[in-house]
Parts: sequence; structure tokens; C-alpha cells
Amino acid sequence: MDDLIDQPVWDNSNSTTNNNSASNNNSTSHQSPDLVEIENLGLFYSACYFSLTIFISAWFHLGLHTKLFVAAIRCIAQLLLLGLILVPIFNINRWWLTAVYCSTMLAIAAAEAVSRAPIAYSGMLRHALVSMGLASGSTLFFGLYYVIGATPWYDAQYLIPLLGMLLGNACSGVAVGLNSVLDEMSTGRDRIELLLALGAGRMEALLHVRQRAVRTALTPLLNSMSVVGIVSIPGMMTGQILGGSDPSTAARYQIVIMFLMAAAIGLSTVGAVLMAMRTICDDAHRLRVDKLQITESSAIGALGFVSKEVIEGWGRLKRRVRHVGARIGFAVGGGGGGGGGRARGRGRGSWGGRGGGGGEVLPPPSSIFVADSEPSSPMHPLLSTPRSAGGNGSDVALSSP
Amino acid sequence: MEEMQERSTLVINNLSSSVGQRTILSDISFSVLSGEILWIKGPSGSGKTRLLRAIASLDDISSGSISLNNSTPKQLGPSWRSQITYVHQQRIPLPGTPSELYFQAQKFKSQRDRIGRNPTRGDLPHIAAELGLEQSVLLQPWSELSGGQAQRCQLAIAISLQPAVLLLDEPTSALDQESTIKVERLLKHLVLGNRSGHHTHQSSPFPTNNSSATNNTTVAAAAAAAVVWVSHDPSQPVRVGGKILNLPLGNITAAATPPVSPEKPLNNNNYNNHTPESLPPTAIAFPSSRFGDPYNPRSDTGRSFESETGLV
Repeated sequence: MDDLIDQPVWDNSNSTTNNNSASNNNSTSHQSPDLVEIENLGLFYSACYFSLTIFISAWFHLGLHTKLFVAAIRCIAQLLLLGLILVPIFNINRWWLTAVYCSTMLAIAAAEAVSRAPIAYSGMLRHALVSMGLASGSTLFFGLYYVIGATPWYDAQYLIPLLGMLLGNACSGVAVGLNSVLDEMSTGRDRIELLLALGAGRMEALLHVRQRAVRTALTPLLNSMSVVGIVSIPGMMTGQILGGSDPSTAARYQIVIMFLMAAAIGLSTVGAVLMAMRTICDDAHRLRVDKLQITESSAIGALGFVSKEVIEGWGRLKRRVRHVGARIGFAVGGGGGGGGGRARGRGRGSWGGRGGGGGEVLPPPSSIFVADSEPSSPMHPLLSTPRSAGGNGSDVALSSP
Repeated sequence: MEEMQERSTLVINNLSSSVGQRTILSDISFSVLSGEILWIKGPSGSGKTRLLRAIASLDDISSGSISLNNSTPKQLGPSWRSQITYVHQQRIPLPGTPSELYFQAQKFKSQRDRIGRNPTRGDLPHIAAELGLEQSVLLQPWSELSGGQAQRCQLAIAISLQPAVLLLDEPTSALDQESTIKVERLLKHLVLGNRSGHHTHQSSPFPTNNSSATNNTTVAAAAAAAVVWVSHDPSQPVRVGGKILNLPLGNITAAATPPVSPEKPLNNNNYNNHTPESLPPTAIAFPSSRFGDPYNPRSDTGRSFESETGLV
């Protein structure tokens, strides 16, 4: 197993010496020439070929050319940025730097998993983070430490690409699983409540729900495991072969990553689905459909989701700071009372100023964070009349409203 | 064979339920004992279904308390619903067959825990036959059943699980008159208890959960149940009897005698008309003539009208 790590993929020192003795090479391994670098002109040519697709969209009036163009620009920018970022991380190779980068990857993957959900509930992002983080993290640790056996197991060269693959697939698995669970609990509500009414506990009543969710999430991986090698050479193997490694070595890596992906997808989906079920069907074994929210726009993606959350969070933070400042100002500056409050107020005029004026008495700003309780709508007309004690025999019983 | 009569008491105290800002139920209090029927009547939107679901702990309540034999839903957990079973009003699309649902329900933990105290299970084919369903209906997929058949199957499954309290949400809404009478008769026997040999151990194609110790014919009597029945049909409480809870006021009245229709002359010469004045003053009025005379002994069980009027 050690020969796997002795030669990093981009180390071409061996292949140059072996090329000269190609005729004498009888071993089963194949040493290919250097990884061919792609010049900027090569990028440009591929972009020109891609513009054919845009041309097709325009010709057939598909209306996709703007989206394709934006997607292409994003693709170029994100991947070049990734290449740039990874170089120093691989060179420095400190565990804390790798950890920071991995946490960012995890956060964006979790945001991506929940951002496109048509039905959501409060706390969904937290659950996705926890389930994906634990599942991918433990699978990665097991894979790196026991299976691949890199010398520091957190070697960035191995950890970051593997974590990327695990998170990418776990992200889509969790998204599919959560969507299936929440959809089933909102549209199939009657069936679940029938089972609950017959005495089922929440796990018994939701058995068919979680079976369907995990099955739906694992089916794509099952399909790809069945046809891999026959239909196409998967991405990781392709990359390694292009990079100059031996196909049989690349094949072993591919098998390992497939098994690890299956574990990561399965664990993260089951974890997210279980947490969702326990939230929506609460501890009293009631199906709380009121906790489900239909999201308005369901195609914003991770970056849109994160930016929306950041903007909202900033707005909330500003309001909170203003509120706290007002309360301090009110407590210190406005409320007379014993204990030298006024003296304190003079001494801390600057605090009071934040609340909107030194001597001004502010109304207790409690309404900012408390929803205004609307006046209750008028009750049923019959409810407002006083009840006659006991009722009067037949005439009350048979009075039809 | 001694009869094990477990009397259960369902007590509702000051129950209030609201959805958002609207108060649907306000300060409802009543109690139901085993062997009683409580009817719930009221206009649409007065919270009848909401009340049943709150009793079955499927919905939360804003204030008040519910208790069965001095235990609250929180203490019992899922066992609450195995003793107080709510039967849905509408037909629910389900996969599989009714017998599969019955077997699935028997395997729930709360149902298995109850079996220790009552070793027999209700005989689903027998109950379905009493409701007028053929034996093959239980083996057909739910999607192939008609509305009335599906409603009766749902009711039969709930009855076969032998809960202490049955909460029925308009169980006869999709049924014709003949099936309605059968349902009413079955539920009356259920409430009265096992006096007509209802839950006897019969050899049936379906395996039941009978323990081997109770293999003799006269088994321990099933506990009499209590029924809370939501109905829009005003003649049903009159036929079956019991108390009536009127929503939204929440007051309780006895099942009343049929109203005196003003256009009929109070003519004692008209002997063919069963006017209310010519009847003895019992709590159960004689059923109206449009249903024929269903309580006269047409079947061979020897039931007579007098034995069935014991219910208040």
C-alpha cells in the first residue's frame, strides 16, 4: 500500500527516465508521458467550441443563452480561483489551514443541500450541517487513516479532493432525501395520521417515509456503481490517468472512493432524514404540518442562499444593536428612580445619546422583537351569548342554527 | 365464564382549541363512561372534527385537560391512541389491502402491549360481515374499493383493535340506508358489551392474536366500549340513543324524541300513524317508518326491541 503515496501524482521525475527505456519495459504498469499543460490558447479554443451550444440555443429559441453564458463565466472563475487557492494550501500543508478550508466546503455544501428545497422547516440547515459533517468526516478519516494510509492522515493533497467528492455526493443525497421526506409528510399527511390514530409511534408511522427517502437518495449511486467501467470511466480515474498514473492503481482508487461515497451518502441521508422526522413529528407523536414552510423561490443555489442569509443576518444584527443601545439608554438615561439614577445618567450621556437623545424618555422598545398581537377576530356569535346552565331539554337540542 | 368488564372513564375539562387567532372550541367539558354513546352535533365549522382530533391527541389544545382513567396523553404516549382510536371521516388513499393494514396495526408496539390484558382480538372478518361486507373485500386493494366499502373497512379495523373509546367522525356519511342501520346496530352492541357473543373465537381464514389458553368457545367478554360519534343525521341519535353534546355551546342534552310536525293532525283515530303521542314515554323513540322496522327480529339471533332499549 505504501507505493501509492510515494509518488505524488504531479511528480514526473520518474516518467522522464522511463521513457528512454520504453522498448525494454515489460512490466504490466504503464508510464505515460508528462501531464500535458493546457495553455491559455487551449482554454480559448474550448470556449469557442462551447459557444456552439449557445449558438444552438439562440437558433432554436431555447432562451438559455444568457444562463449558459453566465454559467460558463462562473465555471471559469470558480475553477481558476480553486486552482489558485489550492496551491498555497497544498504547499503549506498545515492542519489548521486545511481545517479552515474544509469547514468552508462543508458550510457551502450544507447551504446548497437546503437552498433548493421546495419545502423547508426551521433548523433544516443546522441538521444538514451536522449530518453531512459527521458522516463525511468520519468516512474521510476512516478512508485516509486505514485505507489509503497517507503519512500525515490530514495531508491536504489527499484530504481536500476526497472530501470534495464525498461532500458533493452527500449534498445531493441529503437534498433528495430531505425533499422526499418533507414532501411525503405534507402530501401524505392523512396516511401517516391514520397509522398514528391506530396507535403507531412516530417511527412506526413514518417507516414508509424514511424507506422511500433513503432509497431515492441511494439510487443514483447504485446506478453508477453498476455501470462504472462499462459505460464510462469515472472522473477520479480519468484525472489520475491523465495525470500519468497507472490505470490499475487508478482503478483501485476508484473502487475505494466509490465505497466511501456510498457510506457517506447513506450515513448523511439517514442522519438528516431522522432529524427531520423527529422535528416534524414531535415528541408527543403528533404530525406538526404547521412547521413546514413552502419556500417561494426554490432555485437560488448555495451562494444566493448564503448571501441572502448574510444580508438578513446583518440587518438583524443592526436592529439588535440598536435595540440593546436603546434599552441601555432607557435604563440609564430615561428612568428616574432611586439610587442615583440621574447622576448615572449624566455621567453616561453618550450611552443615552445612542438611544436617541439625552433627556428623552423612550418608550420601552419591547415591540421590536415581539410580534404585535392582533386583536382576536370576533368569536362565533353563539359563543358570545351566555350559556344556559344545563340546557333546556328538547328545544335546545333540536334547534337547528 | 366470568366477565371482565373494564370500565373506562374519559374526562374532558375546559378544553379550548384555537387555530392561529381564531378560537374554534371554547371551554368544552364532558365525561364519557364505558357503555355510553356521546353524540356531537353542530353546524359545519363548529369544531366537531377538531374536538375528536384533540381528544385523540392528534392536535394540540390551547388549554384544558383530557384524561382517560386519570392518565393524560403525555403520560401514556402512543398507548393513548391505542385505547382511544379516531376513525377518519374521509377516505384515505392507502397501498395494500385492509387485512394488511390490520396486521400492520397489530404489530405496533402500543397494540402489542395492550394484548397482555385482553388476550383475544376482535375478529375482523366477523365484524366486516356484520357491517355488510363480503369476505373478499378485505383482501382487495384499497384502491379498488368503493367509498362506502372503504369507510366500513376503516371502521371495522378500528373496532377489531378493541379500543376503550371509539371516536367516530361521520362513519355513515358515504353509506346507504341499509348499511347505515348495520353500522348503528354493530356499534350499539359494541357499547352494550359482549352480550350477543360478538367476539367469540371462530375459526377464520385470518390468523388472530388469540393466545392458546383461550381456545374455548365462551371467551372472556370484551370490555364494553364508549363511543363519541359525530353525525349530521338528526335521526341517528334518536334511533341509537345516548347523550348529545351541542357545539359550539358545549351543553349536553339527552337524545330527544322526534319533533312534533305541525302539519300532522293530532288525530288519535289514525292508528296507522306512529305519532309520538301514542308511544310509551321511553328514552328511545320508535324509528321512523321510512327505514322499515329494522329492530324486529329478522335474523336468527333472537334480538328483540325491548332488549335493545336499555341504552340511555
